[in-house]
Amino acid sequence: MDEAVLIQAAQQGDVNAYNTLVLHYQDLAYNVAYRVIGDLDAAADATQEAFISAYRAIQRFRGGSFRAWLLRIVTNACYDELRRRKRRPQTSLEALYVESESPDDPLVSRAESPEAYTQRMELQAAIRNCLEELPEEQRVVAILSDLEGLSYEEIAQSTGAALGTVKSRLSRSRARLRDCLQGFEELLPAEYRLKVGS
Amino acid sequence: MDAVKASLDERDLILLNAYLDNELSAEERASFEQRLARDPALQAELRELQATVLLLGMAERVRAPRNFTLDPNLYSKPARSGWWRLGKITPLMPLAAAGAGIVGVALCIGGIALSRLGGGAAAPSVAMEAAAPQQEPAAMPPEAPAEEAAPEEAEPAAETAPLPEAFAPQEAQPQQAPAGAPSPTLVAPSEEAGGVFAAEEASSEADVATSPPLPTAAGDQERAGNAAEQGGRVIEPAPAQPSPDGLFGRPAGSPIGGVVVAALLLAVGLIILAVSLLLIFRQRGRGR
Repeated sequence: MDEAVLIQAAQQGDVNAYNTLVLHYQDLAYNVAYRVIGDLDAAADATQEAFISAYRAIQRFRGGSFRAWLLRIVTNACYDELRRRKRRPQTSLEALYVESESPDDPLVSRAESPEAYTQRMELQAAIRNCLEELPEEQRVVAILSDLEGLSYEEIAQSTGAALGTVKSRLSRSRARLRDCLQGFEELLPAEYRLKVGS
Repeated sequence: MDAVKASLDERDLILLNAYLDNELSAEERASFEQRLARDPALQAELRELQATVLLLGMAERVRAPRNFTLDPNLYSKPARSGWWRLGKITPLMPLAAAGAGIVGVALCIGGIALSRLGGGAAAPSVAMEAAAPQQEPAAMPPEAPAEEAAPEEAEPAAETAPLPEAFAPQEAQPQQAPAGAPSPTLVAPSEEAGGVFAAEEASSEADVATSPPLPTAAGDQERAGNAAEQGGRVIEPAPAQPSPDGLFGRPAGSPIGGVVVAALLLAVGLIILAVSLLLIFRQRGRGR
């Protein structure tokens, strides 16, 4: 069904229409939340909060990119969760790394060799850790751009920042990510090593 | 390499990232590609950025652990009832109600003002019209205040005005003198009401004079005949006597009754106006 029709129905109180939108965007929202927060359970909570908030606020949606509008609510929910976690730290980065290697981890694929699996997990850990080290605002921009493929305009809508600010934040975040990932160079496969000529 | 990187300022890096993300216009892109072809530092930076973006793109996606759909039983909006629903039927409804309220208030205020003006201005004209029938008090008792019912300035006219012959034999029949001459049944209360009331009586009777005869004229005639038999003294029905300033003791079209009705209408209009304004502000609040 057409997204605009679903949005209009949801604005008139049709929860089923809104749930169709939820099913369409829930993976995107959950991935963004997971990358921003760095914890699967907290990401699920933040995603649920965001969808509830979005339903309550959908009357105020005035057109444009619904994805960007929704992601703004998701990122705000993530900021709230991060603030809570700063007040009451629960999980260290090390624990996150171990957590992701558990058998229940959705990233685990049983169809690959142990070496390939280890290599893949190292790359994922490197990316996750480097994202964690970024300031929150730069991290969100990097996730929306390089992991979710949003345009600069959509990122500006999602973050509430000016276009120039988005460009600046993205440039700085990539520079820091590049430097950070070089620190994990020994863990990365040769084709992923960043040093030019190395 | 670090020295090469140092030669790139932040603006160059922003341009480089925008070029990588295909966010430059055609002109900017062409210009930047010319510069890129000449600048090895830019080329090196571009390759590193491309590798970084490629690496980040390899971040695996996770699947949502559950559906985040909302329970329709919990999140369906409850249907509001009563007046609040009126504002949701159409956005124009409160505006229409506000307009109706304003018109109602204006009509009521205008009505009150006109009734006040009419009360003061109608008395002389009534007196003029009353001039001819003023002479019938031959049948009236001496204490019947026919002169009090009409202003004093009407009296000279009454003295000089010739009496129509057709009216002469019917002096004792008040229903035959509708041109402002107060019938005994109407004049009697004004005696108790005093002079101020008399002018109001006159104006209201002027209204009566211009209206067609009421079906009760035969009854009035009969009562007038009885009055003549009793020496001109009219025995009034009990309910009409005791409260000259009450609603029921007044003839239809009394200014006091009109003011009360107009005041009630004014109150209703103000209430409609207030409710509609409330609905309008509520809708605007929701719009935000």
